[in-house]
Amino acid sequence: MSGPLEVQPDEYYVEGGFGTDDQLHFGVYWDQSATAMHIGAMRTVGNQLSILDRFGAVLHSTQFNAFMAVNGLPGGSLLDALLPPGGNGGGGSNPCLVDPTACGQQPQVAPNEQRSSISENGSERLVTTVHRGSTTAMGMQSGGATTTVTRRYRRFDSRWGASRDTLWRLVEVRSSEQGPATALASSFVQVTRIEYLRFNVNTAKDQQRAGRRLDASADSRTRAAELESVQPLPHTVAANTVSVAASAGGVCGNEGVNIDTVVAASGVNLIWQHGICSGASTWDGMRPMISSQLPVARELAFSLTPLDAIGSQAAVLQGAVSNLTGATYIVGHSQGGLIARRAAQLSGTAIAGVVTIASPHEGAKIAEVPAEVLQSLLASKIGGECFGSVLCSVRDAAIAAAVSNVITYGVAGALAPVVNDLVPGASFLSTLNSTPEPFQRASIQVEVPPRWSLFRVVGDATTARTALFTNQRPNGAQLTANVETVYRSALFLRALSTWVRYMAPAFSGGVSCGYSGYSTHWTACSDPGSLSYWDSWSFWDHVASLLYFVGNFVVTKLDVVDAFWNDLVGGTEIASDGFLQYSTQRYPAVPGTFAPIRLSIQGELADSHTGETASPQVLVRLSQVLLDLGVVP
Amino acid sequence: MKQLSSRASLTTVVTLLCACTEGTAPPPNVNDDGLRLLFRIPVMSTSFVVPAVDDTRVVIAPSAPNLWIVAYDRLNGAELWRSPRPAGTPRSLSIDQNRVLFAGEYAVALDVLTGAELWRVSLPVSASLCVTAAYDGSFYLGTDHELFALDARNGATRWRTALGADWEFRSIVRGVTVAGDTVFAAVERYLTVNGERSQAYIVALDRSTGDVLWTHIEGDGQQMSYAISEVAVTDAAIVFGDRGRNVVVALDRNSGEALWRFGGELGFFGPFSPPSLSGDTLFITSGDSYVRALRVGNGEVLWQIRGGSSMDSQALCGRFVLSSDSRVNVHERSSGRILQRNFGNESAPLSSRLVRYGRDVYVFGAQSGYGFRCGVE
Repeated sequence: MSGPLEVQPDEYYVEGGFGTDDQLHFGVYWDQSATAMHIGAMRTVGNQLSILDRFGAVLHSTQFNAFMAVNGLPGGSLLDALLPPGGNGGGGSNPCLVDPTACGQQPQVAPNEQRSSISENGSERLVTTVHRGSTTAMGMQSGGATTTVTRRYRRFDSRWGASRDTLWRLVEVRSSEQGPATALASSFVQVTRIEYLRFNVNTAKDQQRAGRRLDASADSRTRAAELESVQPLPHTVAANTVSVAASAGGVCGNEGVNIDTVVAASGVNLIWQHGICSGASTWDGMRPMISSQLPVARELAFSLTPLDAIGSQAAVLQGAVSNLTGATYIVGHSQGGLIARRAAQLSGTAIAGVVTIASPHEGAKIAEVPAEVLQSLLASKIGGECFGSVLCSVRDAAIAAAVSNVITYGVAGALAPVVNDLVPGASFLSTLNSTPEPFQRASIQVEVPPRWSLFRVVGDATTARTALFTNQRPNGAQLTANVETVYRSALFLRALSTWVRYMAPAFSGGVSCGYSGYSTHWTACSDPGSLSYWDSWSFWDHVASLLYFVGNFVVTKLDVVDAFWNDLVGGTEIASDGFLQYSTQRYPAVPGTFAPIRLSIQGELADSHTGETASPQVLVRLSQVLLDLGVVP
Repeated sequence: MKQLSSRASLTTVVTLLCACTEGTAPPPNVNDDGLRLLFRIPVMSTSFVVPAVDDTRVVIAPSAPNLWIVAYDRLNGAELWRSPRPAGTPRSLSIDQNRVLFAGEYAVALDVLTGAELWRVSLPVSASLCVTAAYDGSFYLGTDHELFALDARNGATRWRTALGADWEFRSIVRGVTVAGDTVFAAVERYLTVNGERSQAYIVALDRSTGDVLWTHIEGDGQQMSYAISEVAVTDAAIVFGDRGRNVVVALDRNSGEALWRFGGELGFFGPFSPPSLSGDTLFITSGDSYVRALRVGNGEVLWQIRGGSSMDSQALCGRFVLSSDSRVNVHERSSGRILQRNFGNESAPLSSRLVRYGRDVYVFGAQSGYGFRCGVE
């Protein structure tokens, strides 16, 4: 149980549980060869708590109460928090009162009072609480029954033990009332252990992301610290962040794979142009699906260097296709659409048609923000309440993963010429949108629901392009559904907390006194008769507080992050595909010519920017547009 | 007191649970008005093929690489037969004279009962962009510059009419409709080598001889202008959508003179399917994501409703209008009000045209095929 965690190559580990601060803690570890972390989710339904992977599959499920008594994690159970090691609520300054056995005495307890003692024996700790009830007759108070409750704790080690001195886990509670002790409860000694959750890194792309690490030798905490230290900076300053810029080539380099396939003896040439930080492989699913349906003679997909200036990439593409004979069409996704347009413009009438899928014809709002600045901005939106380095590292790792998955072109700022071409108002865009285009043109615009669009983008980025073969939607929709579930669960927890607090006296089996707090009730309420009354009341009161805190924390943070992301990618325009504003995806009318035609994909079935090349919806629309453009021999 | 508390607990829990569920009111139950699911079957068809339906079966061409023609029982979706087809995906299927007819690189006829191939005729140019028609023993199709009438029994050419012998650039016959003694062809004529400027030609031909009766030219030649599917025909007019300009056009059936035009939202693709007609009203969907009801006589807008994504087709269905924007939406026929989105709760896109046969409507997509039974009007 103790010692450093061993993480195998290409695996992620997630562990979680409640700490003594009543907060939910998650720890995430990853190996040295990959940096992406897939966000999972936690779902509570009734008393059932489930940990989900990013696909929504249940990785672990347990009872909520049992979960709070997590084994092997810092802090142990909620009960530990209620009766923290080293003291309790009835002690006072008299050592004999704190520990009567140390004075050779049996605890003397006055009517309606409680005394406790603590003793340790190696790995065990005994906490004895003696409570004497009271009876009242004719205005005189006299002693009632005396109840002794003994809680037995066992020391345990934690992987995170270095940050905590002593950790005890409640293993038994016994009670006696002026007689032999009987077991009160042992259900919570059946501690459920949260096993490590393992995510396999099984795509070649993940391997390629290895170069994205800020510091290959840094562990999670170091890395988190680095991220925390990055403050929002002006664009030009951020470009000087050497550690980030140095990895830019690895982040967004040339995939190095070109595809040139002769499909049939006759037909058209179909060229597929990828977007930023991508490569020819992004079309691995869509390319064969289209080629098998339409009369495509030859298909080509080039991996260009995505951080080069768009004009440079277009020149490379134009040179590569200049010797083709027959009708040639180019399909470009995102930045690839701009490259396709420019290459076609340079080709005169040699290109028959261009179809752009979610391309930033008028620039990308998000290009105005370098990635490292965005990371910091996101962190600031989530807030500084990290509750220690562990949760902070989780937060920052998640942000880094999300950002590096989708907007690495912000990385390195001025070192990436393409960024200057993508900023709204860039001179390149002005040239592009004022040059005659003697070819057929069409655009496909995509708009996803704004709610949870960031999570949709993150989820979709993890999708294997070949998922199209099985008509499987990109993962973003599932992740979004999971986040929505978590959000609703958090709303429920928040509402439930009010109810639990109100109903706490009823849960205790006693009579409601109309008060709301352990200490307030200590002497004020009518005869509760037994210690368990107070214990249970206090327990549910704390449960209510915990429920509210967890629920409110999740709701608030998710709302803030969601609004921030929508504002970032859409500016004043709400509509976007999670990454590019909807309006910029419209193929502009080049002066002196007509407005090119377009189709739109909107609604719950739409997939976000990072999933568009693996989207069944886009596949169908692209098939339709090519039909419009008359793609036949 | 404890009983009271328990009751209060239960009430509170129910209240909280209700508060956490979706706050929107449930959609009207269209089933109460007679719209119900006949079947849902697994298929894979991402192409925009127009299925063929007769009294017994509905026939589709699934997406490649599944090179089949498949017939399903139109009432329960049971597969009746499947037959191999040539490479490529036909734009449409037709049934006539107990034959399933379709065209791509070849014109092909299958036995409607067994799926056995009866004949196959090689075409000079692919007809895979043409919505074909079959009527009274003839199979009508168009390729590049030509229209064909083939004998449905054996594939023999009954007539063959060349279009635009002087046309410099490419042309595409997009759809053929037969009405009475006339064949109407929707043709796109390229005005440049790449077709970024084109015009829509509607050509009326004598059904028995192939002689051209009249020709209507739509579009100013400054942009793409074409009807991508066949036209719809009423007693007095023919109506089609100009896909390139997003305009609905009505022509006099006998002369080809324009009666009226209705323009949709600029910059979007126009109608992908011909309008559905009912009395003096036509219903049409468009790439601008609108569903519209127009008066056939003058093009007056009776209602228009914007959906989500670009629309592909529509079908009348009892009191409702069904529209497809990759999913089936149910509209109130009198107002266009959307009663239910994604009827069938399909997660994968639906791509085929919504086709109506009697009281039933069929649609097929990337994952599923549906048959719906409509109520009475």
